[in-house]
Amino acid sequence: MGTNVILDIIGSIIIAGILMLSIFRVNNSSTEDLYKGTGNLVAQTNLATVVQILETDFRRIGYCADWKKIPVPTEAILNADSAGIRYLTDVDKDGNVDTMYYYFDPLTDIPGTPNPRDRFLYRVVNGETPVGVNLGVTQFSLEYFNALGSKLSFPISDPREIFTMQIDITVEDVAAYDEKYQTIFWRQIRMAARNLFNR
Amino acid sequence: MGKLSLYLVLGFGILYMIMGNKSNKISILTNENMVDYNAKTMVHSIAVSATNLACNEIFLNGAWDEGFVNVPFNGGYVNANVQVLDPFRNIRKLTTSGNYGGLNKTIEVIFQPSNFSKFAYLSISDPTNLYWSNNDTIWGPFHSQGNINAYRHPVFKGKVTTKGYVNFYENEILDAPRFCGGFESGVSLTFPAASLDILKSLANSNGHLFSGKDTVYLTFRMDSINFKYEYSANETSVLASYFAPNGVIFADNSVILLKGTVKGQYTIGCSGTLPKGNIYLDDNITYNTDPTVDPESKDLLGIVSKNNVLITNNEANQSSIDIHASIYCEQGGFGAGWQEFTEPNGNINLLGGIQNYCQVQIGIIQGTQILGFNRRYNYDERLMIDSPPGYPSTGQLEIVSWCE
Repeated sequence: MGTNVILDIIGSIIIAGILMLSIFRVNNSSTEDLYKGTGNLVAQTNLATVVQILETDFRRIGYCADWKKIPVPTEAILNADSAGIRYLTDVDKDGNVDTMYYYFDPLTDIPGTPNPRDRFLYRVVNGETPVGVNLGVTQFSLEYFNALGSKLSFPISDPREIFTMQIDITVEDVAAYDEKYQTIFWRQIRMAARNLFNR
Repeated sequence: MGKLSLYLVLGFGILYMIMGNKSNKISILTNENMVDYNAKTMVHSIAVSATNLACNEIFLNGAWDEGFVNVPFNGGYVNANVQVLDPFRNIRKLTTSGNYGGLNKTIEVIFQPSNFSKFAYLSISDPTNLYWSNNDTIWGPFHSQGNINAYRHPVFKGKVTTKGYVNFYENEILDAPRFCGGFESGVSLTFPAASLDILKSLANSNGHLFSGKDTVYLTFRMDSINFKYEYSANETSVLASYFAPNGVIFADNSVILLKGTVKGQYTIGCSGTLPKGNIYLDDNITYNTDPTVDPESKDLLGIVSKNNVLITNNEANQSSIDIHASIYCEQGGFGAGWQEFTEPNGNINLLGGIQNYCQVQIGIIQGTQILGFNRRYNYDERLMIDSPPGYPSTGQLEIVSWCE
């Protein structure tokens, strides 16, 4: 066993080490990318779900299959603030007036998820016990505008003045690789509920 | 050593192919998600556009029921179908659908004939110096055929429409009105010329038509109606539901003097050229069941005149008057119109609405004192969905329900 052999072995170990480190790094990076991609997909899917539910519900503010049950549509919004809105609608189109209440709890973290920022966005129909579904919503805010397009300041003294609203939502994945959460933001600039100003 | 390297490269190659494949799938799913949301947004926009197009056809021609089938629109197709739900009341349902990228979206809109009685206030010709101020709160739908002059944020609780525009006393910041029921400009709404003829015809067919009488004294006494043609004559009393089964009572080329307590639903009409075609309110004209006390009240009154609806200058009206009715004056207005006001006369306590061509004086300001009447107008919200029998229609259909 000469000096050359020893040098060959040491060289091989160093090269193998470098190779292994590279492989681990590539593997790590691939795994992170995969997690990011998956997280992004989950957050995006959650956002699309939330948005579609919100759009469908908000477009029905003041709607009732038996329209005579909401004779003054402008009175359909009962109260509104930046984190929630309560209004009259007809959820299942059965001709009965329902009360829908959307609100966001910005303070309470959802237990059991690694993401410290995700919160429940509640959808309460007719005063049922609120049940939260975790879709990774980290921000939900509403702004309201009057018929002349001016922004209404909070607190809104007369919800009848609401003509259009702006909805902002941010969704993150509930768990992420190395706490690098994927963030997706969505804004509906001027959402108008058609029934509010029918007559 | 060479074999081992080959296995190593192959192994990692396969591993990364699997991971790459999964990564690609995620990318594809993300794109699909976005494309799916985009398609849903597109199909919704197409359906709303189709609905607006169909609504426009209906507004131009209320009898339009042709619809359209598979019309190409913005990369998709639109359909519209009009169904008459209630031929007697002309309630119509428009169903439109948009198709895009294999998705379908349906919108249902219900229309009913629009009636003037729904307006809390409608004026064709307001004085140009009439300003709605911060002391004014108007409940119910409002229309002005001119401009709306605003001074220091007047409040309109119902939907406001105007043919003109909002004219601020100084500027928008200081004077912008608060529109609580929406606002639309460029809306023209005039009184149809044949409204009173239709009412007369209804009275003649199954109501009661007075003709050839200069003056008709009409007093509602709940289930009965008393009438006479001269001040000193004896009244004839009849059962109201027998006297005018369809609820329409009309005096042709005459003057009506009206008062009493209304039980049921009636419309009183009067035509003629001035000084005829006026309806005078001799005393309170109120509902038997006050809807502000009992919202289930079915009592409803329409007062329709060719010219004016005026408060009679008599002893009964010297210290306020209560009026429960929707009032329509085709060529004139509602008010007192007295030659002189010598003292404060209390309030005009109106529960209903006013649709008139112009305003009629109700008092004067003398120094710091108001001589004459004060306005205490409240909107009867039942008029949003109901109207007195035969009350003039705008001739157009209005949207009462929109379901997406």
